[in-house]
Amino acid sequence: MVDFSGWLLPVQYGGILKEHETVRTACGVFDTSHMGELRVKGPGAKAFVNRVVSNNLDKISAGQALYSPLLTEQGTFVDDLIVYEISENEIFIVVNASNIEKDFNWILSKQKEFSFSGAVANESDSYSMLAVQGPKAPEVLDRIFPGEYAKLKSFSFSQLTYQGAGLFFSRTGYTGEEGVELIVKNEVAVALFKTLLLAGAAPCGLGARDSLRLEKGYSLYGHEIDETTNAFEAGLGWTVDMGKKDFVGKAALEKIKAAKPARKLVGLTMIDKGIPRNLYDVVKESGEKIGYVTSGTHAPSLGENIALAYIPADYAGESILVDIRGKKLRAKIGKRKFI
Amino acid sequence: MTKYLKSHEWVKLDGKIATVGITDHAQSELSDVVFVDLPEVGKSVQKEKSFMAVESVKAASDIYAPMSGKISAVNEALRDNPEKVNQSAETEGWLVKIEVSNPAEFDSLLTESEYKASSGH
Repeated sequence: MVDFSGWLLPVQYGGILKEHETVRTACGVFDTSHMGELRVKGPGAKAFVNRVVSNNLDKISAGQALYSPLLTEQGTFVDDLIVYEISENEIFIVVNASNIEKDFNWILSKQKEFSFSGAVANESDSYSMLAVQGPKAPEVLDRIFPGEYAKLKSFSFSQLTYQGAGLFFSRTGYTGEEGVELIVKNEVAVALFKTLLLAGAAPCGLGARDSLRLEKGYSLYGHEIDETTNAFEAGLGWTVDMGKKDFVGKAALEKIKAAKPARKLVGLTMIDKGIPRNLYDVVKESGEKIGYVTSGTHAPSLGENIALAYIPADYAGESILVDIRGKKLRAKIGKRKFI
Repeated sequence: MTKYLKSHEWVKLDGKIATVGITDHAQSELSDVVFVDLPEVGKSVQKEKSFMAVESVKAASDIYAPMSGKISAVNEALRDNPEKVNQSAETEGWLVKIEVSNPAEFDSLLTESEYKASSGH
């Protein structure tokens, strides 16, 4: 168990490699209850949230969810989050554990500016979350919620109940596999976790969660994205709708787009033997630092050592050097989505 | 006899050659070892200074030399099969052999019971 933003979380139950493989071939369950939940309710809730986030909520309707950055006025990241449309007047937002208070206060601060008359509530303390992920997740879920998974497309959700308590059954996830995130009231979370284990899900921890998301090229707040990185250099231009009339950070992003970002986020696959890790330097032959690794690990599904890194936007080579514990080791530059 | 460092390295001394590895307790805390960064033969090492790393998925762990001297051999099998460190940390999963410069350093290392007491098991 380790401390993660003040929460006590399991890194692994029985080995990170085994848990990683279980999610890629069968079904794992993660306790992600540290994540935060905010609710924006009242007339015009959707329109209000649409002015605060950079992606366009017009892309979704009731029962659907959308991944979006939450940006500062400078176009850098307050957080990345998932917005759930319950209705035009009720929006549910799932945020990162480390940013719950920050996001809540940020949205509250915009409420007056954008004249939203409804309520913005932080419901994080009431909710737990279990992510059920893997190619066998649908059959595991059918044993508890028969027929529900088949009703949903990717990034859609249903509101169900479990033992009388409300539950969001959301076809979203952080592993790139089939499955759901179950956002459930605390009172029934333990019972649901036990039922999921009996139904065939294996418990998996933070360690596997990180190697799984990195293989898919997904961002982790505090690594690929933070208050020093803008949406374009982070490769998240697809989550920003510059055609939207207005959103926080739009003006800054227009300038960044025109000037062209100075750096870019790329995928690295090690050629020499070594494991690149967060904050290791990307260097020239001379040793001069030209970038840095945001995340890196041994990728179990690939059998390679991979990383995401910021490098100069105009870097033209096919390979680059990473300073790993004092040695300059070569890496191949490629797409951020490894599998 | 085998002696230990508080930082979970074990050492067996045979004349002037010390064989070094990490304890079973250490490998289970590390979980899956995916890469062993073996040092070069001939490298000088100093007692209680880091001289190589063993890497799991999550992190790189520094390994500290129990005795001073020069690396005389490394466990080549670990290059392709780092998981040997997990499977048999205290025998086949040995890391390096050191030609020691000061055999007397062996005396001040922890005994098995002292190591067990210090690592809380």
